[in-house]
Amino acid sequence: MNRVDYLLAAIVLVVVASAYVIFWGGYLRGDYAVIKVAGKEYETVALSQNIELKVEGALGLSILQIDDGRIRFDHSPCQAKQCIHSGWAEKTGEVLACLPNRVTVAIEGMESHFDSINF
Amino acid sequence: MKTLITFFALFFLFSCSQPEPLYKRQLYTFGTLVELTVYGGERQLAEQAFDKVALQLEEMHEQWHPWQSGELAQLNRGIKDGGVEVSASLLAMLKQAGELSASSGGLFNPAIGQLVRLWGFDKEVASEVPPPEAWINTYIENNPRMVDLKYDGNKVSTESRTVAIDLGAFAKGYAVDRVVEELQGMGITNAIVNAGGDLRAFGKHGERPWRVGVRNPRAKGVLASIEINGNESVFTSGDYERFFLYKRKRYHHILDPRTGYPATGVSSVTVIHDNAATADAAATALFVAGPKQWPAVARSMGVSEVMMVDDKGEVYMSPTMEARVKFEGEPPKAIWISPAL
Repeated sequence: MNRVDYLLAAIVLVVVASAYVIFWGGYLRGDYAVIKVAGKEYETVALSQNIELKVEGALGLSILQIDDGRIRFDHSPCQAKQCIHSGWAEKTGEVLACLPNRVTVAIEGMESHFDSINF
Repeated sequence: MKTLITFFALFFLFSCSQPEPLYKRQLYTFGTLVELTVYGGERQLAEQAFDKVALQLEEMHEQWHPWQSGELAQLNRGIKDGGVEVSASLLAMLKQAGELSASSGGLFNPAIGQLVRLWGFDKEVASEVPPPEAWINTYIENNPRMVDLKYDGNKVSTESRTVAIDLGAFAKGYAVDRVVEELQGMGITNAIVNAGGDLRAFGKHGERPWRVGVRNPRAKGVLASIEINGNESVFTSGDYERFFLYKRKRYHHILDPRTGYPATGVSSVTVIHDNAATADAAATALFVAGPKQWPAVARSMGVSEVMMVDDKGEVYMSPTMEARVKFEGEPPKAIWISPAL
């Protein structure tokens, strides 16, 4: 192996290592939200858009707000409003849920940063 | 040049290897959202296991509700009138709950079912007003405890007028333990059972350990991440889980059996232990114990990995927990490490 080979090998290593970090490591912010109603997939939306989404659940309409790469329950027909109190979700693996209305929102990314969330 | 060719050949070889599949199922059961995750193996086996676990959880929830129509509700109705014969499974559960209650010095106390009911935390929608102070004081004077239960074979009775069993701080953990036994018995080797945020994981996610994010009790998002070693449970009790606001004050569901009121000074407690039922009971007991007393109670309960966030956002940890926790985002403003447990 001559000097050029060493140089090439070094460049390849750096490229591969940084690609690994970019695509697999530290990818905290999610790319899209998977919305389910009563366990069935309802819609998958990208978090890159700023929109309001109406989701018909078991009790009525839940309104989800997507803003600046985050998503939250903005309005809910449930009594306790726990879903609204949970606030924004943006990281892969995070889940928002309105149990009475049977609506869940799971943040997913290129590869989930967390396998499960404890709370 | 040969080295370079070998390097590329190996790189492409590894890039092409397919990861094993991940199977997930969401269930609305046990009064919460249960998420089952299985890594690897045949799809058919995972689906069969999910179906079986769904039935198992439904059955357990029905039997263990304190006031509906299942076995525990029947026990609560007949416990003072000569006692009730219970199944071997409920008996085993009551005995484990009794032992954990004793080792917690009564801070985890499943005998306060009537108090929980008085506050309305046994219902899906909590009350809007705290119960009258006089009621709570009368109740506390009677001091119901798990040692007031009398066992005669399978028959459970009590002479106390105030004992009623609510396994709220324990049943979820106990159920998660049973579900894990079921999954392992069916030949599943890598899985997470997450019941409303409390979980037990076993095996791995392929080459790496399972990664769990612990939610921040006050700010939004994840406070810390923990990697699971083999077969462990991660349980958190928090004041944000079930609460109501009355005259601008927060009344949450973790009641201090000594005062009859929600425990103060703490936002959340996270416990790691191999047994989910122990982790569940300990998270509640340590929450009630508060920032000063928790190390003594943890030691007595045989729990060594604990993280507590107090009401000012300061974090208390055991040394073994500190070694495993990685804070995500902004670190807490103060971290206190306890002596070894």
